[in-house]
Formats: sequence, C-alpha cells, structure tokens
Amino acid sequence: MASVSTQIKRGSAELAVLTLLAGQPLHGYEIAKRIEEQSRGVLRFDMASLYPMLYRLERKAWVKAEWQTLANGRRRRCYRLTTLGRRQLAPLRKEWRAFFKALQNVTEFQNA
Amino acid sequence: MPDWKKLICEQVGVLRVCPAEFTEELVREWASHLEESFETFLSEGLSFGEAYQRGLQQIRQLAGARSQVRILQEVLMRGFTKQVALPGLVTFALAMAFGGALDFAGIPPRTILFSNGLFLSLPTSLFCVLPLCGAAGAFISRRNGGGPLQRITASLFLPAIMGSLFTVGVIAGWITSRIVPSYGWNWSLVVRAFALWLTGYAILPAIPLVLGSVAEVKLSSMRKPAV
Repeated sequence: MASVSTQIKRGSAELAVLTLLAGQPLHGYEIAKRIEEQSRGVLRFDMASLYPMLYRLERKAWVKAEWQTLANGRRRRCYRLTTLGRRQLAPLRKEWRAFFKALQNVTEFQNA
Repeated sequence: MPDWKKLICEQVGVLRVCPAEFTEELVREWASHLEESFETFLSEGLSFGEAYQRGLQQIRQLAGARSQVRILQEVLMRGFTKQVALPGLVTFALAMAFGGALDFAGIPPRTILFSNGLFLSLPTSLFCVLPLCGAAGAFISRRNGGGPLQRITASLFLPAIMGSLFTVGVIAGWITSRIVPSYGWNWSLVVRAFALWLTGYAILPAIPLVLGSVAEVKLSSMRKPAV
C-alpha cells in the first residue's frame, strides 16, 4: 500500500502547486511558502520534495519555468501554468473532490 | 549571507553526474531558494547560526539518497524528452510524411528480389530527403539545448524503432517456435531475413539521417560567433 500513499501525497502536492500557479507565476520558494501559509502549516514542502515535483511537472509540460528578474533585482526561476497544465487542473480537482467524498462516506459509515 | 552555491556543490553529489547544461541552473535555483528562506528565518528572529543550520539541513535533505535519485530521474528525463525523444519523434513523423507524399505522387520504392525468396523494398527517393529529416531533428534538439551527441541520437529515432521492431519480431518468432512444435522455424532463412531487413530498413536509412544531423551540427558550429 506504500505506492497508494505515495500517489496520494504526490497527487495532492501536484494539485496544490497547480492551483497556486493558476493564479500567477511563482518561484520555488514562494510556492512552498504560500502552500504552508494557506494550509496554516499543515502542508509543508522541503526542497527535497518540492523541486523534483516541479521538475516532474515541467517534464510533463504542465508548467514552464523561466528565469525572471524580480523588482528587487534578484533572478528567480519562475514557474507558470501552461495551457496543458490548466487543462489538467479541472479533472484533477474533480478527482480529488470525488476521492474526499468517498473517504468521507467510508469514515461516516464506519462511525455510524 | 552564506555561500549557498558552494555548500550545495559540496554536499549534493547528484550534481556531479547531472548533465552540465542543468547543473548550473539547479545550483542557482536551489541557492536562490536558500537565500530567501535564510532571510525569512532571520526576520522571524532566528540567530545567524540557527538560520544557517536550517539552511544546511535543507541541503542535507537534498543530498539524501532518495531525493538525489528523484532529482536525477527528473532532470535526466527532462533532458532526454526535450533533446532526444521529441526531436526524434519529429524526425520520424517527417520521414513518414515524406514517405506518404512520395507514395501519393506515385513514386514506388525500388524492390530487389533475392534468389532465396527474400525481397527488399527500398524507398530510394525517400533516402534522398532523409538528411533533411535528420537535420530537422538535430535543429529541434539544438533549440532545446541538445549537444552534438543528443542531436545525432535524435536523428536515429526512426532506425532505432525499425531495428527494435525486427529484433522483437525475431524474439517473438523464436519463442513461438519453442512453444509450437511444428512451427517450422527456419533459422537460416530467419537470420538472412533479419540481416537483410535490418540493413535495408534500419542501417541504410540511418546513414542519410546521421549525415543530415552531422551537417546541422557542423553548420551550427560554423555559425557560432568567435569569442
């Protein structure tokens, strides 16, 4: 069952990142920070899990990365959602909603 | 500010085996991440030493065996997809399109019949345009950052597919002959057919494709401005 757990983690992380990038392009640190803030510290990304995932999304052409110079003059590699990535987002969200609903049904049934 | 780039290079072993075109980019990206998080730690009230240790901890996580494998896997695949597989597919599609166009124009392949009953149907006209397909694949690979080796490898996608198909066919036939007693597996004929078709449909097309990609590599190196 380890693979299921890995897939759940991977899938939920991908959904979180894609959802964030749907709003605006962000660089790696900002992505990690915003996910941590918006999940109130429940979801945390360390570099070792964040970057391989971003590279995987980039390989799948769901995100595209470009070096950009920020207002403070610093160069950052910013990730933006591609058209293909945007197309993946709606079915992913639907899939996760269905997953959580199913899980809720099971746990409610167990508690009844 | 600590020299994060230096610390990353010292501790993350995966950088020593990553292709050179990615190494610098990875280090720059990770160092910029550490810079930001270091500043955040300081602004949150951590001392320089504590913030530095937190940064080091993140580098150590990157240097962990599992992370290294994941990074290497993704980076290598990123390079392979963009610099070899995608240009290779374009080469393949172009060759197929030209082949279809020649067929549509009524230019038949040249069929050579051999005394042992074997035949080879060589699309000789297609061979004349294959250098263009190879050059196109090499061009796309170069646009995606591919070096000479990746560019030439990309042009060999079509022969590699044909060669693999023949090999798989021979292996499947051999396995069938082991299972079905009266399969009539004639080794002498199979070996000759395999050698003939491998030459005609994989090795011969590979020559003009490689010539096209080598020409692209040479031309692009000539165009580079002198530094």
